[in-house]
Amino acid sequence: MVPIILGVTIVVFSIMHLAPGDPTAIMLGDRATLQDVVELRDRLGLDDPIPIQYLRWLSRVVRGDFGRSIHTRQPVLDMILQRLPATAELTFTALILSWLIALPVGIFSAVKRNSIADHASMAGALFGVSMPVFWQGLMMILLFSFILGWTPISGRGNINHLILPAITLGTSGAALLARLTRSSMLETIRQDYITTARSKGLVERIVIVKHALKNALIPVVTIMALQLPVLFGGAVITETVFAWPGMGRLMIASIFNHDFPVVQGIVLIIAILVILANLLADILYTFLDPRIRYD
Amino acid sequence: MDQFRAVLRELKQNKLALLGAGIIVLIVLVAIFAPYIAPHHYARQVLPDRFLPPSTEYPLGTDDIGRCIFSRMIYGSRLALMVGVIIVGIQATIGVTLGLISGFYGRWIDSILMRLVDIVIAFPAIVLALAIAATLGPGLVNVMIALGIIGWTGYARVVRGQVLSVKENDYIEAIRAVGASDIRIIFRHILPNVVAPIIVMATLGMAGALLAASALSFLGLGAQPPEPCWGAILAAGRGFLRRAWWIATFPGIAIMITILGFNFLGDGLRDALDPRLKT
Repeated sequence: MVPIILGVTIVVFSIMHLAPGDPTAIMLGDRATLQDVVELRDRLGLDDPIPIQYLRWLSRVVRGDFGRSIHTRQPVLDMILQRLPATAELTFTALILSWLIALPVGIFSAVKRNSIADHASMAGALFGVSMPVFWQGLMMILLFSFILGWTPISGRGNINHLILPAITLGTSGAALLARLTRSSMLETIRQDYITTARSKGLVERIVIVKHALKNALIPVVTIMALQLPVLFGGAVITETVFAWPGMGRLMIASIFNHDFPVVQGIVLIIAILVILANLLADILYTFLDPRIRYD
Repeated sequence: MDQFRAVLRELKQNKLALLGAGIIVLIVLVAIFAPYIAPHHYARQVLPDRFLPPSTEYPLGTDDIGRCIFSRMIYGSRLALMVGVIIVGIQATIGVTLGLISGFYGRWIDSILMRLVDIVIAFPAIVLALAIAATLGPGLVNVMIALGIIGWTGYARVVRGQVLSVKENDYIEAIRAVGASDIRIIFRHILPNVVAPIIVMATLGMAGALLAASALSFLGLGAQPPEPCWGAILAAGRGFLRRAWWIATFPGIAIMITILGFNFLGDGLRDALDPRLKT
């Protein structure tokens, strides 16, 4: 895990240096004098060799110093931490919503394979996967806020504010998960031990819930962890559509303000969160399937 | 050739795959014949005709500066297909090359390349693409570069896995024994064996590329005005949702149908090429 985190820091650091031309010119804008540029280059240590710059940046990041925003002069970490709860609230609600929808739909589809309900839910899932998040968000605003007047258009506040963004963000994940749960369940139901359980005369519900589900869920758990990057990506877009004051919206605003330290900080924190989620999935994996052991 | 026929036969029986192929063919035709189909030029502005709802003159209405949404969407299909093909082309080229090298040479090369894959997938694609596109500057070319250099990991992993099994075959050993070079073995004898999963991934990849590219355009980093990119038309309609719902609604439907087309065909191809994966 450590080499991957180190690699991630190299990628994040390099993005800053991808910019064609002088990064200080972008940071300072058109009206900067030569002296401004020289001073900023000196302050940021941009004339040192790249590996030295990287190590200096890394040693600061490890101590929690992500630099200061060019735009607001605030410490980057403080800005991100202020926004993190909003993003966490949105992504977790979306995640839970997607599980609540996907697992029953996927299981039901597998159990009632080839029924009309199965075909309908899988067609719905394909639509869910194919729908652009930003468009879905706008259409939900159009329908539920403008036409029906049920929910606020944007912003963060009570549950009414949360519902549309959470559904929007959760939809594609739910669709993906429902498809996966279905195929994983189908795979499991075909196993010999399920036939044995049935032939013992167990009630179908017990066979499905106690015997099949636990094994069918193993691959699903991995996908849940892999869903997290997708959710964070979707959060950037969803937050923009619904003016949700989270990290994603801060990232977009910072991009247009050329506030690179903030962008850099957000990308790094999101990547580290994703790595931690994968670790969590590995741990859950061993819990669900005792045959798997990591030494 | 036999495998190709078998796949085609299998595909013909898959209604969703046929529907997907039909949608894609239709969009390609629309893109080719755009100037003949579109009633107006995509950049033509008629200010007195601002915010007109769908009508016979403007089938999908007009935007805030009196441009025909239908015509812009027709021309937009060209951009959508071009952007998708270029992104998938970059992704597949990088991914397949690295996957072949990784699987064929193994050892430390494999370890390094697979760690690189682990590092890249730690980033949400759209977040990393946003950061790269932001540093390179707004514009469709930069969006294509950003998405192209990120989305190759899936190809690399799958191709590597295939190469690992193909290279154990006796005939590879035999070819090596008669003195064939590594390059020849890789491109003449291993690559043809891993083409099937690449085709499936590329088809499904078109859907992903279109979705990501239109998202970046929606966020303002992709196509710049007056380019008729679907994501950008939609973004422009965002501010007028209450007043002129049609501006944001129709481009979204176009994006969704196109993506559905590629997903249907991709799923069908996967089932046809690899029956083990059939669900």
